[in-house]
Amino acid sequence: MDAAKNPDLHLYDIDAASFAAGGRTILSPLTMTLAPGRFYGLVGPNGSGKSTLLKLLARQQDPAQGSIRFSGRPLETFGTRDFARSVAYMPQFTPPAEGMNVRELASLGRFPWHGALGRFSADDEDKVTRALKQTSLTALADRMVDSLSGGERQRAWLAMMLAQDARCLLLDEPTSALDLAHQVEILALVRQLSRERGIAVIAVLHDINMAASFCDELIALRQGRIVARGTPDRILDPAVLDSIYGLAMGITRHPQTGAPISYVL
Amino acid sequence: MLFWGAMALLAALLFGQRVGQQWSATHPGQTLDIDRVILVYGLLPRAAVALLAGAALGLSGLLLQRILRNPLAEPSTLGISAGAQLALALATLYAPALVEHSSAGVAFAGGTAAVALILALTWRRGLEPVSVVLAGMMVALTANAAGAALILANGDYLFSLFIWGGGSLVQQGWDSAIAIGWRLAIGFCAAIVLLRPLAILGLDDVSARGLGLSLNASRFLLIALAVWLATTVVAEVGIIGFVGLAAPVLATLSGARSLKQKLIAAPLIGAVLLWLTDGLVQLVAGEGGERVPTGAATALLGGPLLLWLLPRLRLFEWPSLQESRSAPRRAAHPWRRIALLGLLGILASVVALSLGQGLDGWSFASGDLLADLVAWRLPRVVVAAACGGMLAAAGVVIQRVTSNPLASPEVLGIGAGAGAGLAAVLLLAGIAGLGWQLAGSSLGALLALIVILAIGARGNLGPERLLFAGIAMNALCSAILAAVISLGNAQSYRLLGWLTGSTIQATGLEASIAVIGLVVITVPLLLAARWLEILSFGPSTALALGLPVRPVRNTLILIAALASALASQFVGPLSFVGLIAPHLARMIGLDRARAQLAGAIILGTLLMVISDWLSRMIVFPYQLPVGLFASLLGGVYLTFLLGRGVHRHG
Repeated sequence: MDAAKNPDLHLYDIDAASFAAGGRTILSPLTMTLAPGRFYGLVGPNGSGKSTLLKLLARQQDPAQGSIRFSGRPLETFGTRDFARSVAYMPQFTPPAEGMNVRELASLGRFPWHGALGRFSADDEDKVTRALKQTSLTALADRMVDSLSGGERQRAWLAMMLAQDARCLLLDEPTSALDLAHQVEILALVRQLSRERGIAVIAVLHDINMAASFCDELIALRQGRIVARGTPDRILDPAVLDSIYGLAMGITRHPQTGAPISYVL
Repeated sequence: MLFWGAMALLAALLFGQRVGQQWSATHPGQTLDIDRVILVYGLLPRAAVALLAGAALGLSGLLLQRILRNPLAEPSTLGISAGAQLALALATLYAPALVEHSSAGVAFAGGTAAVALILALTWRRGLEPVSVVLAGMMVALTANAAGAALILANGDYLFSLFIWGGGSLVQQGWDSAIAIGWRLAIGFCAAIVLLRPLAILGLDDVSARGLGLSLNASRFLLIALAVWLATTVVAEVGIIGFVGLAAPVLATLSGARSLKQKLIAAPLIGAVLLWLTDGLVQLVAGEGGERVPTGAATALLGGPLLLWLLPRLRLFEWPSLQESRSAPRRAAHPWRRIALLGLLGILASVVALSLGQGLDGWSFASGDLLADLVAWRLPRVVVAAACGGMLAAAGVVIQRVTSNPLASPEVLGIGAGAGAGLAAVLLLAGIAGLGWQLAGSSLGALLALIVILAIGARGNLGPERLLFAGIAMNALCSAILAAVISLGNAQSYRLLGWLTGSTIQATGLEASIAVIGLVVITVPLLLAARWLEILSFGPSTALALGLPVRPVRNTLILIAALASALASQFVGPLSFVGLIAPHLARMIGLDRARAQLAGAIILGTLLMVISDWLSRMIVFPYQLPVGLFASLLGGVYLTFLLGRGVHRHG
C-alpha cells in the first residue's frame, strides 16, 4: 500500500498495540498503518476485537501495551479538545438526545472548537449549516431528535460529527439498528462524505457484503488478531472468508455490477 | 453453610463470654442476688429477643421480597417500621390508653397504613421495584421527620421513644421474647401453608394468573403477614434495619435455592445476624454502652453490605421503565418564561414577607409594622429561598451527570451524608461554630457522593441500581445520626432540629451565607451549561466531543455536594426540592441545560418560600419545620411522577 511507502500519508500508525481486560487478551499486539481519506471497514465475528480496536483509535480506551500515533503524534500527547478536532467517534448505541432539536445536536459538534465559554461564532454557524445540508437534514433542522426515525437520527449524529470538522470519522456499527434501506442510505452517505471532504472513515460493520460494497478496504479480525486485509475483491474469497469466520462460504457475482457477493454454503 | 455455622459459633462465644462473666459474679445460695437477676431477666432474654427478632425480620423480608419481586424490599426500606414508629409516637401522645392496651396493634396499624400508601402510590406502575422502594423511602423519611418534630415539640417526654426507635435490645424480662416468639411461630406455619401461592407469586403476573392463582387475595394476605411480623418487632424493640434485607439475600448467596430452603435459611441467618451484631455491640460498648442501640449498629453493618451486594444482585428487568413518555413541548421563548417565573418568585417573597396571620386574623402588613416584621421574617425567607435554589441547582447537576432523572441530592443520600458529617463534628468538638459545622457537613456530603459514584462506576450501575445505592447510603447515614441522637445530650437536640429542617432561628448571618453560597455556586454552573448538556450524553460521547470527562465531572460533583451540604445545613436533608425543581422546569418547556438550570433554581426558591410560608401559617400560632413541609410537598409530586410513569434520559 502506498501509505506505507510515503510517511506523509500516514493517518494512524499502530505499533504493537494490545488490549486486555479482566486478565483476558482482547487484542493481541497489532501493528498496521491507515492512510488518510480512505473508507476502511473493520469486519469479523463477534468478540473478535473490532470495537475494541476502534475504541483504542478513538482514545476511549488506552492500549495495554504498544503505541498509537495519529498523523505522526502519539495519541497521549493530544489534549482532549485538540484530539476531538481531528477525530470524531460515534459509539454503537447513540444516547437519547432528549430535549434537543437536530440543529442543536449538530451545533454540539462545534464544542471542541469553541469550548465551554467561547462564543458560537458565524464560522461555527456556517459549519453547522453545511453539515446539515450534506446530510440532507436542513428541512428537519427544527425537529426534536427523539421524534426522528432511526435513519434520520443516525444522520443527525453524522451531522454532529461533520460539524466537528474532523479529518477522521470512527463509526461503531453505524447501521446495526437500521432496516436495509436505511443501511444502504447511511453507508452511501458516509462514502460520499468521505470522497467529498477527503476524510478517512473507519467503521465497524457486521454485514460483510454491505461492507464490501461500500468500503475501499476491509480489515478482518478474528480472536484479537488481523487475519486479512485488502480490497473487497481480495477479502471476498472462499479461503479468506473461511479464515475469518471459520465457515465454508462461496462467492458469486452481482448480476449487474459484477461485484463479489458471499454466501454461506 | 460452614460460614454461617462459624458465625453462629462466634455469636455464641460472645454470648457465652458475657454469660460467663455474669455467672461468675453470682453468689449461689443467696435468694436476692442482683447479678443472678441480671443474668436471668437481662442477658438471657436479650439473646432470645435478638434471635427471635432477627428470625422474624428475616422471614418478613423474605416474604416481602418474594411477593413484590423486589430484592430490596424489607420492612425498613418500605417504610413499614417508620410508619409503625410514628403511629406509636402519635398514640403515646394523644391516646396513651391505646398503647397501654396493645402497642403491637398500634404498630401494626401504622405499618399497614405505610404499606397501603406505598401500594396505592405504585399500583398503577405495576409495583415496579424502583418506584416501590422510592415511595417507601419517601414514606420513611417523612415519617421520621414527623416523629422528630413531635419529639422536638414535646421534649424529654418522647426522647426515650427515640432511643428506643434506634432498636435497643435491652430487656428487663421475658415478655418481649414471648410476644415475638409466638407470632413468629404462627407466621412461620402460615408461610409454610402458603408455600405454593408464594412460589407462584415469584413469577410474573401473567404466568401466575395462568396457573389459576387469585393474585391479589394471596398477595395481600402474605403482605399482611409480613407487616404483622415486622411491626411486632418494632413494637417490642424498635426499628432494626437491614436484617430483613440482608437475610434473604445472604440465604440465596449461601446456596439456598428452593423456596422451602430459603424459608428455613432466611430466618436462621436473620437470627444469627442480629445475635452477632448485638454481641458485638455489647462487646464494643462494654459496661456503660447500652446507649448505642443495636438497630443503629445493624444499619452500620448492613449499609456497606448492601453497597457491596448491589453489583452482584440480579434484578428483575422491568420494561415499563424503559419506555419513554412523549417529551413535554418546548417553550418557544424560554427566557421569557424564566423572567415570568422570576417575577412570580419575587411576588411570592413579598407576599411571604407581608401577608400573615395575627391575633385578629389575616392581614397584610405595611408601614412600620411591616418594617418590624421584616426584621424577623426576612432572614428565614431568604435562607429558605437560597437553599431551595441551591438544592435545585444540585439536582439539575446530579440528574445530568448521572443521566438519571430520579437522582437528586436527597435520593442519593447526599443530604443524609451531610448530616453524618455534621454529627461527627458535633460529636468530636461539642459545640462547634458554624464554620466547622459547614466544613463537617460538606465533607460528609462529598464523601457520600463519591462513594455512591465510585460504586456506580465500578459495578457499571444502571439508573435503578444507582438509586438503590443511594437508598443504602441514606440508611447508613441515618443510622449514624440515630446513634448520635440517642446519646441524648445537647448535640442530639441540634441534630434533631437539623433533621426536621427548621429555619425558625435563622439569623442575618446565616441568610447572607446562604445567599453568597447560592451566587458562588450557581453563577459558574450557568456559565458551564455546555458541560452539563454534553455530559448528559454519557461519558463516551462526551469524550468524543472533546470534553475532558473526568475532571469536568469531578468539578461538577464537588459543586453539587457543596450546594447540597450548605442547603441541608439550614433546611435539613429531606426537602426533595432537588428532585422536583429540575422536573418542573422540564415540564414547563425548559429543556436546554442553561434554561433548565435557571428555571429550576427559580422554581426551587419559589417552592421553598411557599413551604416556609405555609409552615408558619398552617398551625398558627405554632410553626412547623420547613423541611418537613417541603418534603410533604415533594411527596405529593413524587406520587404524581410515579403515577405518570418515569421519564428517563439515561
